[in-house]
Amino acid sequence: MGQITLQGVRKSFGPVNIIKDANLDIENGSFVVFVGPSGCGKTTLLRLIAGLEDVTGGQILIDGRNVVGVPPAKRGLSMVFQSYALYPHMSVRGNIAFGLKMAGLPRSDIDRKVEAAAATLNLTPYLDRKPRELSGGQRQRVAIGRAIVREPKAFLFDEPLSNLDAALRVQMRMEVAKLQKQLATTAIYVTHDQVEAMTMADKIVVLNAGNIEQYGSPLELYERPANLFVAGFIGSPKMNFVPGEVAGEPSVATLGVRPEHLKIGKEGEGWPGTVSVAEHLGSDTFLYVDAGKLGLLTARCIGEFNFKAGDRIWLSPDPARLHRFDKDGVVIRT
Amino acid sequence: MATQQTQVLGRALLTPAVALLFIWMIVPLAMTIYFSTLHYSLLDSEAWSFVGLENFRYFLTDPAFLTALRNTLVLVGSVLAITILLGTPLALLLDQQVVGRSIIRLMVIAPFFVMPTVSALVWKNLLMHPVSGLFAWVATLVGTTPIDWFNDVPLFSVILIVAWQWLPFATLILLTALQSQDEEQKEAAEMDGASALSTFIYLTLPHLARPITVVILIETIFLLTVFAEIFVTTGGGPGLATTNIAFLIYTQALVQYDVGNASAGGLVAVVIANIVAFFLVRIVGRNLEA
Amino acid sequence: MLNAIREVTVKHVLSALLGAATLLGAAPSVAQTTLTIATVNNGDMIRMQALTNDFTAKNPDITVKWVTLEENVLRQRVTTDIATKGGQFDVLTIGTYEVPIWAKKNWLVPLDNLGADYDAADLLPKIRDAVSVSGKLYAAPFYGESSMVMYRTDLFQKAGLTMPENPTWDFVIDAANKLTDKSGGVYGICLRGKAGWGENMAFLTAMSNSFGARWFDEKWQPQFDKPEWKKTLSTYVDLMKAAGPPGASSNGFNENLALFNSGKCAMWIDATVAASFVTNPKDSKVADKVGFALAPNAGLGKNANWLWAWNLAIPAGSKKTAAAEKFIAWATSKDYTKLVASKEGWANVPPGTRTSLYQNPEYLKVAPFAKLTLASIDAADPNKPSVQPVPYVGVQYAAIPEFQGIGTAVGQQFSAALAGSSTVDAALAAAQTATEREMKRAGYIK
Repeated sequence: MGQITLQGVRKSFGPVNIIKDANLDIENGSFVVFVGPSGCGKTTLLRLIAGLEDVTGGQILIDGRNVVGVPPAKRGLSMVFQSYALYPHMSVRGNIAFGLKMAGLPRSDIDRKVEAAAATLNLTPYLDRKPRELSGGQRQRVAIGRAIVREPKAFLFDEPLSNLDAALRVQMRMEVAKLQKQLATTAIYVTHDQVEAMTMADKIVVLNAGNIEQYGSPLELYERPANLFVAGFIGSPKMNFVPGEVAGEPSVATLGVRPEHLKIGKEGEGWPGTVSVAEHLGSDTFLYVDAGKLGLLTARCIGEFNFKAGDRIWLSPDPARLHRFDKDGVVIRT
Repeated sequence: MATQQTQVLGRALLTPAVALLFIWMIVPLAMTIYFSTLHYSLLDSEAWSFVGLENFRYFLTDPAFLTALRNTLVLVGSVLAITILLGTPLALLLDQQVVGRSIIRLMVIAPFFVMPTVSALVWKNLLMHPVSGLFAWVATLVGTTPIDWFNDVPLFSVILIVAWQWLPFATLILLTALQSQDEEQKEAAEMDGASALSTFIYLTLPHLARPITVVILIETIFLLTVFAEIFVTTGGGPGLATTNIAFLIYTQALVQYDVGNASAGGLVAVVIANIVAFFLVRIVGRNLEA
Repeated sequence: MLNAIREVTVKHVLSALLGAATLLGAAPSVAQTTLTIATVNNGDMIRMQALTNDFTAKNPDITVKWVTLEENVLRQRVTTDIATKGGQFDVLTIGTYEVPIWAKKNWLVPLDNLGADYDAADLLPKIRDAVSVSGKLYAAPFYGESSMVMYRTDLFQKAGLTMPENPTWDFVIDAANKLTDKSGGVYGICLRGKAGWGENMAFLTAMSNSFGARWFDEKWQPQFDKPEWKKTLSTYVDLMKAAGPPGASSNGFNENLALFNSGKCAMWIDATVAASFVTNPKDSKVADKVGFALAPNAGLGKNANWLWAWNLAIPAGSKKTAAAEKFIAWATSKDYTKLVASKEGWANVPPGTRTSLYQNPEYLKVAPFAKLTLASIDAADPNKPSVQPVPYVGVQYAAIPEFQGIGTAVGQQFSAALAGSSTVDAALAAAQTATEREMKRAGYIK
């Protein structure tokens, strides 16, 4: 079981409020990603749940029990750190076994569990090596092995893939997601990379300046961003924002349209503009278009289009995919 | 990466420095070995003669030699034990967030900057003196007989003084090591349910193994030649109680400018230092591999 | 060698610096001779540095460079320099221990040309003996001292005792036992105990002279197995055990000075220079309650006092002998004494070298201990230290190069006897063995 509920959780360091009134319900077995720009409080929130920091106010419930004031080890969670935080003087076996040893399990149980975890993570040949003799990906797997062997109620991941190179990151991303599904254990995963968030999460928590901006499934966030921040943060390239008045909708403050929802229209259709940069990726073409009063627009067109800088084009937004925001940046739903 | 040409050039450029370093090391050693085979006293410099190993025989058969050797080893061993056993908790303490930490650190480190002769004088006359010392005053205050330090436990008294001087060094090195310990590792251990003691045993201690080795080796080098503290406090006495090898060389040779005997004694000391270092490296050296 | 820390105050250092600055300011025009002078860092020598411009004013063609060192370092530097003919120094500050050894090796220039004003006949005869070899002066004494008994007049009075001017050991032992009040923190007698040829051995050798002992017989055979030494050491150990302070086996001059000044000792036998410290109310709690007497005797015609002087000498091979002689003549002259008196007062003139000083009423007025200092110096004879014949010169040492090492080793044994970690017999036997071993090696004993 691993149901985690935050009720009015606050955290401040002196006069600085890092987390302002966080409320969240994480279902058992789900993979939840905390995402947001650096400094948004996502790591702090994770550490509050882990018990590595004390909350300033509010409650954290794990399976209905308030764990505020409970030491980390007693919360039944395990954590994978950004630096892996492997114990350098212990072998891989020692690292994975450490938590079990501290829990006072009999030797035979420890061995059995460690070997099972190692087998799951393809670490069996490396059990007697020291961390410094392993590659980055292997170290990462040891860190994960250390987490799973304790059979926790939930895994906490703190930007675990940020130290890996791009190719390995994609691979580990899949492995982690797969493993989580396999174990069916609740996971909270912190990242600043929205692609990671979109690809791995069952649900995403978007954080900004200590506030939870939106909590929902990846597609929900993509299709129905609750506000300007989420709209701008989720999706790549970024959503285009144009002032409502200029776009002919004076009742809304800002009109948002994603680059992939801008179509190249016939002359006279939609918004006119001049191509300032055209990026040809083969599968897509990215056009950066100077649209006068509308500002700089990005358009993503599937396939190859033979435009070059200086060409004059017309862009027409998909009317069904327009996002309207009021002057406070909150989405207007009709 | 180097081509043959750059290798040759590199060696050619290094040669003068290496040669100079070699000469700088080897010439004094060679001279010492040469002098150790001579009967040669500065105060009788006209009458020098080759005597072979006579100087070594004279030094090694000195009735005081074995006592001095034992005192040397006891002194080195005790000071090492005290500085490391006290230095580790002290470093742990200083690593905590406390008010005025920088001032406390400065105070802890201060003894290291006191000249050995000065600290020996202070300890002898202001602290340990059985009549006018602070310890005697405290002892009288609580109604016990003051300890006559340099009379009853002379070697231990010297050990205390030397340990006091070297404690800051051990603390400082260990403190630096503690500060370089990875914070996330400690948190990982916390998540793993390790108590403070377990964290210390399983994480901190292995992390400190290397700096402790460094402390042991560096301190040993200096402790084998402790002289000023002995010269100032006890003059090697009473009897031979505080005579170490360095002091024995002093009384046997240096004080009367006997170059031959002093060289022989010095070489014996070098051999002893090497033997001690060999065993220490063997004992603690395994940690260097971790 | 007496390790006496003389009052090296900030004032002295400052005036030394000022003196040096004046030196630099006087731009010389004539051909210059620069004298390099190695000296010890005691108060008298530092005072001399401050007064150097009096000398350079009279001798504009000479500049003076001082190298001031701590006693042990000075001895080491100067010995090494002269033995290896290094020629770093033009004038050396050396003790009476070195003078006869070095003079016999022709390492020193005999001081024949100190000028008519120098008045060598005015030098105290025993001091002059100590720095002369075969009637020739090899070093000019600058400061001299002996040792004597300093005692607490108030305690003696209270106990109904009267200190004779020339006490016997029996009297001193008896008085020490009577005056000891361990619960009250007063000890009958404080004596040196710390091992070292210039520490406990200076005192014990001088003491042994009074008991008729000697270091060596005429054939350089060590004499620690003779009854005189046993009498000396057992008397010393018994006395210190009964009436000495705790920790005596590591007490040297400074420790005893501190004890005496804080009123813990009824008697103290040590350097005459201590007299000016214990009578100085700034340092001493008992300044107005101190009396002086000759170091004790055992009725054999020798008192237990030593003789020491710091002297200026010229190393053989110096090319500036003439200038060096001028400097030495100035620094050890009667005029120099007057110069110090006029600048710093009579209490600060260097004592112990000249008869005329002890006839000077102004000096006697400020130095109540002058009479006994003079008597003590007169009572020591470096050429005939013991009642038995000896092959060496020196009162509290034997002026042979090996003495520093032997003295230190023997000193360790005797400090063990005092500490109780060894018996008197065992300490004497060990001293005998160690000395014989070294004397055989050095070729004195064939």
